[in-house]
This record gives sequence, structure tokens and C-alpha cells, in this order.
Amino acid sequence: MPLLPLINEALVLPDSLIQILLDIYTAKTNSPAAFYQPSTEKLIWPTDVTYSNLCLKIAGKPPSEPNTQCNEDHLKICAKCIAIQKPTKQLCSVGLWNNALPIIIEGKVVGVVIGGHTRIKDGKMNKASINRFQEFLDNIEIKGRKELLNKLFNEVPIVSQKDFDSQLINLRKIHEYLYELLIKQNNESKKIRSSVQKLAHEFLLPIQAIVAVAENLFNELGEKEFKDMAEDILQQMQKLSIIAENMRGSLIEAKEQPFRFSKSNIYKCLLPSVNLFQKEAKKRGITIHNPRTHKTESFPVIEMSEIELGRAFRNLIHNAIKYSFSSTIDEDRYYVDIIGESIGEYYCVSISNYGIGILPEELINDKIFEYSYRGKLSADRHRTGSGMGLSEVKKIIERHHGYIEITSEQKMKAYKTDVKVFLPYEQPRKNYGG
Amino acid sequence: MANILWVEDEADMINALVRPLKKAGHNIIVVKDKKDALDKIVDPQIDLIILDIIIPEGDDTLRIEIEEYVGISVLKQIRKNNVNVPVLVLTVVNDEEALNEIESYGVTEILPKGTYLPSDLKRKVYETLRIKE
Repeated sequence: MPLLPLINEALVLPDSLIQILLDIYTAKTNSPAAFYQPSTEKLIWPTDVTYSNLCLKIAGKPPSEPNTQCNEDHLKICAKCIAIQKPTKQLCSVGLWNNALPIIIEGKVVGVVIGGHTRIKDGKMNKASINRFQEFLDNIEIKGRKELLNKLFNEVPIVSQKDFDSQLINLRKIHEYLYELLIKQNNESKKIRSSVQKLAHEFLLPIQAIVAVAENLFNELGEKEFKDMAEDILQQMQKLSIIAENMRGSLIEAKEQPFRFSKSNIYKCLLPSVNLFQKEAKKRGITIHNPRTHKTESFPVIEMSEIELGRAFRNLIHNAIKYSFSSTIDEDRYYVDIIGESIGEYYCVSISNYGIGILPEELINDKIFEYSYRGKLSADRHRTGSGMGLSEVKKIIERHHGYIEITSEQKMKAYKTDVKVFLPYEQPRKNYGG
Repeated sequence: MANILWVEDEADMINALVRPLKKAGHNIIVVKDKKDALDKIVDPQIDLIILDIIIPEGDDTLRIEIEEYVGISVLKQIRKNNVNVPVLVLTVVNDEEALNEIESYGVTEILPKGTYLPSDLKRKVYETLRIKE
């Protein structure tokens, strides 16, 4: 389990809680109401509902189930409500009236309450209802089914405009409760977000102070021994900052805001990460080969967030070193290789190492990328890790509209693990905003 | 030699960051809050501003709230006053929404505070001011 709950930008209420409220509404009004959460793209229905025979017949199963006409109609009405950000009264495709009420927090629709499923007897409303039902019937070819549906349509309770509006009062109550719950959740999430940001600030400031002093010492000291010590401090602090950044990234789910991309050479992004761990690798008896391309071509310029992609590569290269076996002196059996290659629309950077691997069952269903999950072979006391690194890397690569693939094969004593990062050369235009 | 305004409330703690610039003879003027920053940004002698985003207001009302970064309001004021001085933002803030807003004010670059190296800062300042080593 994560040490702290993930703070998600999206507001999501538990289905069970929503269902309790919807059940109360349904018991009081004898008519189902549903709730749509844009963040999960899911429509939640009450647990115990008596649907009209018309809806049941058309769906062939409970109309609340996915892919039924009723469910699809509700999704369409909710989509319209989200687009106009206002309450809307709409007919479903079989001519029943529904009210949809949006829940708006900070200018964004975070939920839609929808209910009605009835006919209204007042002139225009009834006419519109009948016309819509006729359009629906026109698409049905079997005469017997047409007649049956027509009979069921006429059995649907028909209420006055006044009664329909009083139903709306109850729907508004549900709307108010859900709004209150979501507002509370929003405020709590903001508080935790703010705390995590402050915590990261508290962490990174002393790291920055030590890093700056260490580099000055490294540059200004004459004696090699002191220089080495300053370099060690510098590298260890840089590693500490990666952990702090991973913690911040893991605790606060990525916003929908796109990264700020600019064009940069992949090599420029890879090399600092290699340099950072070169000394540690040497101490462990592992060689990191300098990044190279598969053919004679040079590394390309791609659109990236240099800071974030750099963080992803630092995590991957550090993992490759951490989980490599050491070679004996004068032997280059176990090394870390970083190879670039153009593959179709993507540029692929492959980071491979020989050592402790990842089991096939951990690669299936992306288990290895789960937050706080540590590989079964690697989660020993000799190799520390938080289980945040790979989950962060995946998040960063996906926000670059790329993807990541891992293979791990046992070859004699060691596993050869190959992490392939696929990155598009350019980012989709829509991410650049106005 | 350049006059560099450094808006940083923790300047004492991380003063090693500007050591190479100082050693090279540049004049680093440190201000620690928005109030003092606003007084200084209009100084025509300033060649470059290094700006932190999480800084105090300077009127004893500071509370760091992520919704409102005081440094962004300094940036707004810089642009409102039509001050054409290049601005390097050095910050721990990684909130994309805030970073996009910062960028919209035409800053030269946003630098990540945490492991930023003094030598890199000096290089960036030299690049921005087109100073040759």
C-alpha cells in the first residue's frame, strides 16, 4: 500500500456512496436517477430500480447496463449538459423526458445528476415525446415488436408538468448533497497538495544549498582527495533530489496540463544522467557505455520536456546500475548499454543491463509499473528502492505521448533486462494550447 | 560587469549558487520579498533578474499557498511596468499550470531549483547577457 494516498486532480466519489443517495431518491420518487462522473467516464445507477417495461423490453436486460440504448442515451444527455454547463431537459431516443443537472466546481463540470424517464402530459411536451417515439418505431421492422413497444409506451406513467417539476426538486436535493461532498473532497485534496508541495520545497532547498557548495568545492579545491569527496557529496545529493522529485510526482497525480515541450537533442538529455552515475557504477564494478546509436546516424532532436525526460532517464539508468551484477577486474561482462534507434514514427532509446531481472508475471499487465510495487527478485535488503521510479517513468513517457516496453530474459546466471522508451519526434499540436 | 537582481528569500541558505558569478566580479543585489523586488525592478541599472516564485509579500502577510505564487505577481508587475530586463526563474515549483503562466510572461528560462549547479547558472547568465568567458 502507498505510504500516503495518491492525490488525484480528478474528483471522484465512491460508487457505493453515490448509489446510496440514488437509492434514496429512487425510493422516494419511484423513478431512477443516475450520476455521471466525467473523471471516470462512468454512469452510476441505483442498486434497486424498477424500470418501465418499455425500457426493459428495448434493452433486453436492465437498461442501466453498458451499451444499452438507455445507458447510451443518458451518456449523450450528460455530454450535452457538460458542453453547455447548464441544466438541460432532454428527450431520450424513445421519447421519455429527463432532467440533467451539472455539478460545477471551479468552472469545470465534475458530475451530472440525471433523472426523469417519464412522459409529460402537457401539450407540446407530450407531442414532442410521441414524435420522438414514432421516429424510434420507424426503425423497427418487425410488426409484432412495433405493436408491443407501442403498447408499452402508452403504459409509461404520464405526469403533469407540475409533477415533473416537483421530481426536479428531489433531483436538486441529490445534486446539492453530491455538490457538498465534491466540494469537501476538492478542498481536502487542495490542502494535501499544498502540503506535499511545501514538503518538496523543504526537501529541495537544503539539497540545493549542499549541491551548490559541493560544486564550488569541487571546482575550487586543489587536492584530488578533497575533490573526490566533493564530487561524492554532489552525486549523492543529486540522487537524493531524484527521490524527492519522485515522491512529489508520485503523491500528486499528473495534471492534465501538458508539459512545456521544446526541441532538444536526446543525447543532451541522456549524457548528464550517464555522467551522474558513472562514478557509482565504477565503484560497483559496472561499466556504463556512452549512449550510442544503432547505426551510423546521430541522436535526433525531438520535442521533449528536458527536465522531466532527464528525470525519467536518470531513474532508468540508476535502476540499470542498481540491479546489475558486478564484473570482476578487467572483465566487461556486465555492462549498461544505452542505444538509440529510429523505429517508425518513434525514436527508441533502449537501456539494457545484466543482473537481477524482472519475472514474466510482473511484466504482464504492467505490474512492475504499479506505484510502490517492487520487483520480486529485486526487493531484497541489499538493494533499496521505493517502487516509485518506474511508475514515475511511465507517467513521464506517456505524457510525452510515447510508451515504454520492458523485456527481461535469463541468460546463464544473469537476466538481460532491456527497457525500451519510445518517443515521438513531435508532440501533437493540440497540446500547445491557445 | 553585470548588475543582477536576485529575488530569493532563502538567498543566505543557497548563496553558494551565485558564488561563481560574484567571483567573476558581477554585482549581485539580493532582495528577499515582493515589496523590495518591486522597488528594485524599475532600477535602470539592472541587467538581469533571477526570480524565485515562492517568496514573501514583504508586508508580514506571507503564506505560501500553491494557488497564488507571489513571484508570479512580481513577474506581472515587471511586464506591466514594461521592464525589458531578461528574467531567469529559479524555482522548485513544478506545477505545470503555474509554469505555463510563468512562461506566458516571456521569461528567458525556467530553471529547476534542487540540483541546479552554480556553474550552470553562471553559464545561463552569460548566455542570456551574451557575455563571453
